[in-house]
Amino acid sequence: MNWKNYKNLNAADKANEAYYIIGLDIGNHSTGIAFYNISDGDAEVIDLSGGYGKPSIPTVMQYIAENKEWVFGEYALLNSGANNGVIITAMVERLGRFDHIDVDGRSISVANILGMFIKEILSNVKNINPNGEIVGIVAAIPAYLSQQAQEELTRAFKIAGYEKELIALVPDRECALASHYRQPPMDKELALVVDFGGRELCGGLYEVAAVDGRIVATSMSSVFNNIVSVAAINQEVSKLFESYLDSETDRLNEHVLGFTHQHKDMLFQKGIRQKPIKLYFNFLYPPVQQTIEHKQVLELVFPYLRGFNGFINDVLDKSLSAKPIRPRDVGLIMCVGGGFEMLWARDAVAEFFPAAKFYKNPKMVVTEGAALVAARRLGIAELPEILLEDRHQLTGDIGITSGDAFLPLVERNSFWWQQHKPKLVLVNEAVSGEVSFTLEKRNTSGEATSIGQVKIDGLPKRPKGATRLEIGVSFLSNKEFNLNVKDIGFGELFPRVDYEQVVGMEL
Amino acid sequence: MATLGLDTERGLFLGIDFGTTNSVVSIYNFAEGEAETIPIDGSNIFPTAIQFETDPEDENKLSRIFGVQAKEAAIIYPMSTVLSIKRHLGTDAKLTVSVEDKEYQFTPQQIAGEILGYLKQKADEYAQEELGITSEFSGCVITVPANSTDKQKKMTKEAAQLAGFDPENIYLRLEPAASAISYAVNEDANKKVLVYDFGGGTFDACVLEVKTEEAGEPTISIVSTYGDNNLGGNDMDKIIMDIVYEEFKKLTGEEIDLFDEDADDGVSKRQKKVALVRLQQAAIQAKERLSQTKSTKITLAPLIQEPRIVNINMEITRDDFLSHRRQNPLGDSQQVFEKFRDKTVTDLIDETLECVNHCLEAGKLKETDIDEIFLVGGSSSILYVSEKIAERFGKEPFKSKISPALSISQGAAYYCNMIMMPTVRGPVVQERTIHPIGLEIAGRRFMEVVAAGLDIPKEGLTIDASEPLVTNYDDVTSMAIVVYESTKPKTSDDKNQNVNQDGMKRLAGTSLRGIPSGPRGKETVQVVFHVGQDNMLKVTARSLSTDGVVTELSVDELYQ
Repeated sequence: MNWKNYKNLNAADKANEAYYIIGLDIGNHSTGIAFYNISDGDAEVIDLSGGYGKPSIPTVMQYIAENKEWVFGEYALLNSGANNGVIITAMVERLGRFDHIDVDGRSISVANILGMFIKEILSNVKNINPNGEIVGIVAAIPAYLSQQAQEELTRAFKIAGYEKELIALVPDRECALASHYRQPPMDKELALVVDFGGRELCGGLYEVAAVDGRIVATSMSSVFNNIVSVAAINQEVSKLFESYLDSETDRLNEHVLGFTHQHKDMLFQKGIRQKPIKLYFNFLYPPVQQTIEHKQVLELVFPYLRGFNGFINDVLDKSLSAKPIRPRDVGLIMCVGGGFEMLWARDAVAEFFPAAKFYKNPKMVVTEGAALVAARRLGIAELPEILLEDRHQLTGDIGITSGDAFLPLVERNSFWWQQHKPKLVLVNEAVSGEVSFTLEKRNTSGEATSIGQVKIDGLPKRPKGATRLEIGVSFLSNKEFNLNVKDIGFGELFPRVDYEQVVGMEL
Repeated sequence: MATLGLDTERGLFLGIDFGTTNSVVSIYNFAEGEAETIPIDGSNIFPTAIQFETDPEDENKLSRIFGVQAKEAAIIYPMSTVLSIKRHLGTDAKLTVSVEDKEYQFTPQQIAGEILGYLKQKADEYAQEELGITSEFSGCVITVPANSTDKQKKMTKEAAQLAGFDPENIYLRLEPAASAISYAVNEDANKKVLVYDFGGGTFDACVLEVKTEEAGEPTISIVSTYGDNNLGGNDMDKIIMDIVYEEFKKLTGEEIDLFDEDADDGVSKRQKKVALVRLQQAAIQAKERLSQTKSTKITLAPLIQEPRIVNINMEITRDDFLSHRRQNPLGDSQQVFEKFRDKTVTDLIDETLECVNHCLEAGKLKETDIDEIFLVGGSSSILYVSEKIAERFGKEPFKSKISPALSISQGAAYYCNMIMMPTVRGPVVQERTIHPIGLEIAGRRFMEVVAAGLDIPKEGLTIDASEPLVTNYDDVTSMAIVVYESTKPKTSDDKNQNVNQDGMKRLAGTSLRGIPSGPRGKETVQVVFHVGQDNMLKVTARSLSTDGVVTELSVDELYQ
């Protein structure tokens, strides 16, 4: 049944325990799934890990050419080293680039492989209830996912056979807030969401207020750091493990990948503070034993801890608030993402915010929130609508229009405080000192609105097609930006001159 | 921070699934109104393993390492590591552990007590730090297989006591019932559920009845159980070990016996132990991989180095796994091996279905009476299990939305809630008698006193034997009172059951002494059975003459 038909059912028909309303958080590193339990009126996580006792599974696929079969999740990692399979990771961050991967001589798109992964994940509903039928899905998406990436993700759902059940792709922050705010807050409050996930550390401050029965969460700051991520820390751990192995074992890297996945958690739990832990690299012969002490773990995480602290300072400092925000001004702190299973990350937040709330399953907060958003949208859960007003993220592309062509200088979904890479522009006419062009903002439907006419002068004289300019955008706030124009010359005949002009613009 | 509204007089209880391979501990979180698994050393699943080493600060003392670190140390230190201790509970043989050439002996309950003690310590720390509870876990609910022997249960309790739990507050409950509770806790419809629990070391089938009243919590009662304490995932691991061992025998011309430590074949005792632990762990990993892939490789290069290098490098397909007939004892006793000789994985699964048959018969149920089938335990994830269940019942089985590995422990946590806070809302387990219990009478016949399927009220169930016992000979002054449980369903030919027939389990016995001497048949003895909700059976035998004497005997954990 597609979600629109389900939405139109009467309340009694909707309350059928065989209908599953799903929240999905497909992370770059791991994936979680939850359903809305109609009788409880709450979201419940579906355990995907089989016998491993972890509620999420790695977002990993493996193709084993010898058997011509695909393996997904935990097994794809644990199989590594035991066969000659191709392991595909980090699929989400590859979306939007129309990437293809060579699998046993065939070129397969990332969207296709992710589609197979989604199909396997959703089949778990049949496992818990053979009569189960999925009637609606909300997929939480990270802020970094571009429009093209979202289109590819939607295609992955189509490949999985769930196009009609997919209600919407919803920002993960909205899902996180939905898991907490079951009712509008009595008073306006400042909420901090810190998401420490596989690909990056991101988060922001929101001013949360009740408006006409809805919750309006206005973004006051929005920061990310892609140096500090669970994937980066896993890589450090793998490097540490590899440093202990003086071995030329076939497929050593893949053995270490699986070993890291299984043993990493031991390094970051409390026990190591009391007693060093012993690791046994039993995939080698003879097996190797190694003791790891707490101070080694501290050394390993130190640069990340510094990055983490800088991130928290940025969240407070880079805000739109007229006056400085102090830690005690923040009423709610939500720590979500698998990174918060590491004690050092919890300690780092607790140092800033002693009253921080740590979830039992930080990985699953967004997943549960996605299921609640899905239930609300289908009219089965009476939960407040959450409106995210993100004044930090650009809602459209900013670029130059020339005839029918549009050259984006800044892509939508990027944040004003990010550094935007300058673009090269070839002026397709003879230049005699002055060039003018229109700067436009283009929305998701392709409609353009003018930001203003830009006129730059003082350029060296050059024939048609021999003027190349580097045009960059640097924002001063979420509403003001500078356009930086530089001459970069054209080969040896027209060398670069020391020309630079800055034009102030407003959005 | 959660606040637990505890009945402080009873203290805090911990739900423990003490498994052969892995253990899981859970607590009932009153603030959240749900069971919560406590991660131990960063993981919800804790390998039931211990390793001993010399204390670095005092060479005359031993220090202990638990869980993953101990399990993985077994390959390098097989002589100082103990795995699968649950299989030793119920036996008197002491275990010998060698640490740096010194030997130490432990009883099985001492080893199990050490492991349970570590779990308790970690759970105490978690409760204090994460839940803000200042008191320790003083009580526990430990789950045991449905067909445990009295000795296994007694030794499990002793182990829990050694671990630091209050002896008055150690409860044992059935594994399949616990997992079914975690499943049925949110049920809102009346139904009969078959729980198919295929774990690492044991198999249990259990039929539960879930009854719901309007706006009430579900009442869950156990209709019948049947199981096999020596049939589990470990036996399937052994089939893969057998495939590899056959290859090893071919490569060595059958000149080396890895299972005979004393054989003069040039392989040291230590090398054999290391090889066996590696072989076993490779088999477990291969079995797990085969649940998703069609084939997998096993590489043990080398498996042994001296007197010559023997490398194992082979591919095993899922078909090999399902159809290989076991040929070697692989360290099992002759009696255990006879049970598995020439058996395939599919044969073992068929045996579990035989247990399901017995379970249904005991509950006087047909397949069509079962509304849902619920699969629990790691071994039930084998595809062939779901296929056979679907074929047999004409419906697909359900799996847990929580991990099958956690459901038993979380069910134990719900039991904890019932013990700690009997008045709060939550699922209620209606205790029922499961198998008939009765007395041995003349001619080794069985006289049923308590029938199966009776509700046990709060104050307990008291039933008088339907007829008094009489003295069989002249001038006897004592009479044997022996209590039996009939675990197998009665067939139509069983009108007169004997206590020595298959399925009869002797629970306890005593003698009523001091009966006044007299002619045969003159003295009569009235026997009364009292079954409590705590699964305790108390039997009172009273001589009815004016000089009557009384004796009592009790069985601590009935039906477990």
